[in-house]
Amino acid sequence: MIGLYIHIPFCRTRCPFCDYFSLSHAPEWLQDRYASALSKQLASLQQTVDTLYVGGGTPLAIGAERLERIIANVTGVQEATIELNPEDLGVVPLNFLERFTRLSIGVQSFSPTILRVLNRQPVDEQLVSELTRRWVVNIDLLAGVPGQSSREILEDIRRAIDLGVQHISVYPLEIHYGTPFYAHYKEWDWEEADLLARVEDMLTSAGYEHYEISNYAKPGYQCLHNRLYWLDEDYIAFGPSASGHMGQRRYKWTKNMLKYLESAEGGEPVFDEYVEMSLEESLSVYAIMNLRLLNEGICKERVIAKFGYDTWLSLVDKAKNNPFLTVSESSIKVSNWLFYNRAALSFI
Amino acid sequence: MHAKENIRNFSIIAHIDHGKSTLADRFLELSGMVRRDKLVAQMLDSMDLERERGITIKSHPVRLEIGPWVFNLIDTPGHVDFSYEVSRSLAACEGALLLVDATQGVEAQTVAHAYKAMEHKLAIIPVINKIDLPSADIEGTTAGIAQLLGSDNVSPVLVSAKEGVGVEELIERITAEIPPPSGREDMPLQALVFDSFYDLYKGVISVVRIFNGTVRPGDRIKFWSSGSEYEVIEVGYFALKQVPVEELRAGDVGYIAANIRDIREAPVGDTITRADNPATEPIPGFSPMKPMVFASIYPTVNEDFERLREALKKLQLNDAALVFEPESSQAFGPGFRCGFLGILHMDIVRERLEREFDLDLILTTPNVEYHVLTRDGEYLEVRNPAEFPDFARVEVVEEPYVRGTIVLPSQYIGSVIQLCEGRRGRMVHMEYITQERAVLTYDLPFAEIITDFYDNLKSVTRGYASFDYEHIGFKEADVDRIEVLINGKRLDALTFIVPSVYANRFARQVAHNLKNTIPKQLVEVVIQVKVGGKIVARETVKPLRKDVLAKCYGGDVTRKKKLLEKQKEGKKRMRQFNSVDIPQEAFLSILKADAR
Repeated sequence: MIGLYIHIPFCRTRCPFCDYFSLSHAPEWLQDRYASALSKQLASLQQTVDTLYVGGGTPLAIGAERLERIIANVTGVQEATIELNPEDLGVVPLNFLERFTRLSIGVQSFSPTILRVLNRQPVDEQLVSELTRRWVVNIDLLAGVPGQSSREILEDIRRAIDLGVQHISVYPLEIHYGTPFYAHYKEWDWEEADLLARVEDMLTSAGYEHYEISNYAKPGYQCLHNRLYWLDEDYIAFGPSASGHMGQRRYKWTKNMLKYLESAEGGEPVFDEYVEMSLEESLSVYAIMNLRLLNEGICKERVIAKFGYDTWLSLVDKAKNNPFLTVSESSIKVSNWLFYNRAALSFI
Repeated sequence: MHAKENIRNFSIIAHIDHGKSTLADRFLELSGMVRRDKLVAQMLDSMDLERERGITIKSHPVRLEIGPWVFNLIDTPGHVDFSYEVSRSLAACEGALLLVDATQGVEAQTVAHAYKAMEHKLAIIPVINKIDLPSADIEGTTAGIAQLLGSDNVSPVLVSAKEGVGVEELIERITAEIPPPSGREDMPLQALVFDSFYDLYKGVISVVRIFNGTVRPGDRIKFWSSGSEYEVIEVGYFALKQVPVEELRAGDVGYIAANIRDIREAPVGDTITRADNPATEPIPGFSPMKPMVFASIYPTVNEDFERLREALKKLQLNDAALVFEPESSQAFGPGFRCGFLGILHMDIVRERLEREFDLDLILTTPNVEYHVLTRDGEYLEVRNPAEFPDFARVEVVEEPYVRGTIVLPSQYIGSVIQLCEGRRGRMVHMEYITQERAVLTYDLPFAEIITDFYDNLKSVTRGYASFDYEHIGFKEADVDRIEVLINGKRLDALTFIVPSVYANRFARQVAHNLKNTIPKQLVEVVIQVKVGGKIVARETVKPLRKDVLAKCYGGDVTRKKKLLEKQKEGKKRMRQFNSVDIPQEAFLSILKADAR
């Protein structure tokens, strides 16, 4: 399987907690030029891909027409996801959404108070519920927003379950250097491990599988594209700051929009990172990514198929003595997902 | 060779930034040794660190030939840590220029050094610098100098070293007022070592003033203090570099190289004489270098231990005052217990180790030496708080005291007195130099000086006070030991001796700082701080309940890996003690603990 990620680095406004690369208030000509450059880049793409993921930013910030142009040539995928913001729903033409099989909605919270802190719009819950009948719907929720109580978090989870969405991502808020949140809340210490465990309880009781550290899905609804990341398989990426992985090679495009445009329009490609990884590095990345899949972990069969039996033995060797890892006949898994980092350190 | 009558040996006494080096530069120009456009600003300070800090650490004499005259300008170290070297440098002179900045007036260092010059009975020529500046107060500065020298009738030379104004007049005054050296060439050799440094090829270069006799290559010489003998391989003087000559004679300032491989064999202050025809007595005033401040230095990674040892050895080649011995700490692993002359000396050593040897170091809180008499009559010199005997066994503790001289604008007297009293100081004397400036003399425990006394002094006087001190011996002390227990076990690296009056407050501060710097662990961490064996402060660090990187940044795996790498690196740099990971910041936070 090969994935394709398309980054749309435009937003209507910047969220105060976000540290992804994105431009707000980009002029029309720049959005046009970006759409043309990307469709040109995609038209020259040789490989066929199995999954498509359009993320941002806020993809619809550049409009459905431009997005259509960008992905016009991407066809025949098993799964196609687009990220949406609450304010996109009800505005975006449904026939445009027909191009996708999966909608990922950045709800973040249902609480008006918390949404004010995050400077985000509320989602139309009725509409989300309706969308689940035609699409696989994911909603993103944040836990640990400054001022958010445990009760509010659990209430958000309950409402998400009630909507009948097939997929829920719960992210503890991280406060990143350089964001407005950092200036206000850098001392904010949120470490409600118990609460995260209760979130897990609620979701698993409601029939969701906790398949990755931050991701829950009803059986059969895991995100194929994101699984490629966690299985450390290949994926192609386009857009400034987007990261791709092909074989031993990892790259990350430049964050500089103009430089990116020049390279997409036929110039030399400009990367912020471009590494040919050694076997050891590849293996380290493989291990820490696979560990994120809580039920599968580092799977013996896959390791042997990809790297050989000796590699499996070396991984087992690294894992032993780490109480945060559980080694079995067929896999190496994290013992307690709340201590994923401690588990992963064995492979760094 | 010049006749002795034409030689003038002198130094310049001045506070930092009062223009000593600039004046020296003017002398260099007049001697024709350097042209002004070729002059690297302040030629005489050769170490980078000296340039950056604007102070002279090592003294470099320079021989200047101006007309028929030979001037041996003996530069003096500009910091109180090196006051013994100052006194030896002054002992090598017949005169001193007392250089005062017309915009600043007399400062503490000037006072302290001027008194030393008077003790050595030097001819003192007052010089007022920076007279070209609009804020120059020549009258006030003159009055200050008069008060300092205890004479109503001083006539300072007015100069602007920067502009070269008054320098010719100054030269006339030097030749007229500073006597030529006395001493006889036909007497047995007496040479005073007033500085030394290490040269890779010639061994130790002893910087000397010849008081009597002569010395030339091939002579067998003897160091008075140790009795060790060497054969002279070269003698010479310093122009801007070393200039070998056939012979040094009574009255000369120059150097002797005798292929000595250990700088401690040729200590500053010692007398060199001839082995075959020794003088009957040494030049008075020798005392061996004694470290006054102690701290431990550890490499942040244990693997650097050998590199650190090599680096310290290299520094020691040039720095007889630096002492060190290996030690091992539970917290930091292997390192060295080091002795320094003072805080500046310690800072310089640390900075040179980090800069010149590219080492990443941890320096523990410095402490003074304590003299302890136990109830069973044992006498101990304790330089490491962890080795302090049990207080139940202690009869008397003594700590070192200094006599501090503080020169300050009189409006700040109140706050400075308050500061000194708060530091267990006792006033000895107070005197007004002018209406606006005063000199305070205080006896203070040296332990109070080596923390942040100077910073506080600067802050309560808005930077207008200056400070100098001399050691005056040991006095009885009322101190307690502070110990830190981590989950019930004592952590030696965090043992301090502090005055009883603020031991409890300090203990609470230590506990608080540790709590804020020790990260959450898998187990609860209980921090207890004991004063004199009794627990007075307790803090806990709640156990870690989760440690998980939640978000995956698209396919940006590298970012995630980097975060984990950073975590692993951080863990490696922490020290495990009693199953608790303690980061360096926790140890460093103690340096910031201040209970006063």
